[in-house]
Amino acid sequence: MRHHEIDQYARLSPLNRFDPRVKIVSTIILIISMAFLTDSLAMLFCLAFLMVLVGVSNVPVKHIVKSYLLAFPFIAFASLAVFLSSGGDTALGMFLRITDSVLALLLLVSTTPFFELLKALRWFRVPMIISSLLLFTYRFIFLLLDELERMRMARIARGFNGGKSILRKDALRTIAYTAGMVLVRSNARAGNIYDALLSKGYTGEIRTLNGLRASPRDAAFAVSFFAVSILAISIQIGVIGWTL
Amino acid sequence: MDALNLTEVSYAYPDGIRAIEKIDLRVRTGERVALVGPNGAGKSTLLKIMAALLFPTDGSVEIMDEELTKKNAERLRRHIGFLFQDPDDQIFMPTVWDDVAFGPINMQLGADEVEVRVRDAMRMAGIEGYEQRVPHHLSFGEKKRVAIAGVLAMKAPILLLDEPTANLDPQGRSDLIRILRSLPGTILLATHDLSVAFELTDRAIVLKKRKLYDGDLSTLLEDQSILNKASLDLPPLCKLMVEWRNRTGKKFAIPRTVEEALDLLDES
Repeated sequence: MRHHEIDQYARLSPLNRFDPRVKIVSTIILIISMAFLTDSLAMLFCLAFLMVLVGVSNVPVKHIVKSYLLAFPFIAFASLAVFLSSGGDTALGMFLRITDSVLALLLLVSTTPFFELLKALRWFRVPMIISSLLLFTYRFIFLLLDELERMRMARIARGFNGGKSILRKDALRTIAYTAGMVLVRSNARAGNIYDALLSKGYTGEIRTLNGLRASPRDAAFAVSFFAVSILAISIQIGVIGWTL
Repeated sequence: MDALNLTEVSYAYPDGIRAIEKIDLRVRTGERVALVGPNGAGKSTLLKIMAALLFPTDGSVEIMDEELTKKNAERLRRHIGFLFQDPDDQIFMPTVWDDVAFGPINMQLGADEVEVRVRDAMRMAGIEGYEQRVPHHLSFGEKKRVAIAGVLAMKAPILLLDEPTANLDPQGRSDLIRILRSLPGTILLATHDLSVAFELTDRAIVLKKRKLYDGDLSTLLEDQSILNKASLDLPPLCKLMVEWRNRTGKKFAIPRTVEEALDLLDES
């Protein structure tokens, strides 16, 4: 079975050439600066910058939009709550701020191979257990999805049609058994995976050969993000408007 | 030198079920041995004990003439390359190259040496050009090759293969057998398919919790009582030749390959 591949655009993107550590730091700086913004114009400026990056990233806009739509219900709900309590301008600000932040993060994960991100996280001293957990979750989530799909097929092949409503007692029971079976199988697979890791010399640390190396080009990347953050804040406090 | 030496090895799972009992086994360096038996005979458990992944509840295990203990298990595992039955249990890195390189990197080899080993292993396994492929997008046969490359890259002197041809199509099976035949070193493979054993080994150990037979594979073919006890079935070619021998009354050793069978038929 084929699943959506998290790295499907990352390796081909020109933004992949930048150091993942620099990309993480730059993205975080931009998101933190956006957290201080209330001016819609400043946030639109950040949005325009991110749209330009999406344009040069070679990541299809459709992919970004589809990923953004996954977060959209939460963004809409948060904006609606602010609209009801504080009015339209604040709600628009909230909407743009979260949209910008989500877009910045989407751009980061869509243009950086997952393993490179993990390496960068390790460089930032994120505990090994967390980065290993992320790696194995990413790798084995597809296997668990396959197992779920196989079990769904097996249920259907033997006449099960209770999945149409979870209010049906037999449907609930079957779904509960399926969940239990997935847990049992996952546990068995986890044991095998651990044995495989041990047999390949694993001692608790996922080692890699290629170290991360930042270059002047990466500095330019960071400076561009930093400059956009400063400009957005300048727009917010009126410096740009006053100067212009 | 003995590659593996097991003395009265038993293993019981935490729930008390005994997987294997009092197994004595000696495998010399460079030997190729088939561990055959029905499902649930304890073949995989025994392989995991020999790979220092499980510790016997009774008995002792020597790997390359050194007794296995919990203290030296990590070091002794370097002598063993273990091919799991399901490659999805074995492949976990994001790209094929990363996965094949995982073992050599853990051995803390230099970058150049890792590069050479990965290239060689991928060539031997027939997966050149797969370097940047994502493992979970590969077919079962391709994943099996990646798993084999990962084992070969470690250049372990002892290879333990758990049902290496299980779930492969005929082409994948013959490709894999060709690869395995070309490998150097000590090989011990677990299978319930005698035809795989024929193509790769001369010595067979029949297991059904206890060791039922240890000896020449050709002699095993003549021992119907052992085959029945272990629920093993002769491959179609052997069955045909046994039937022909019974009908004609001729005396000959059961042939293991089509070529051997044709030679016999020509002679008659």
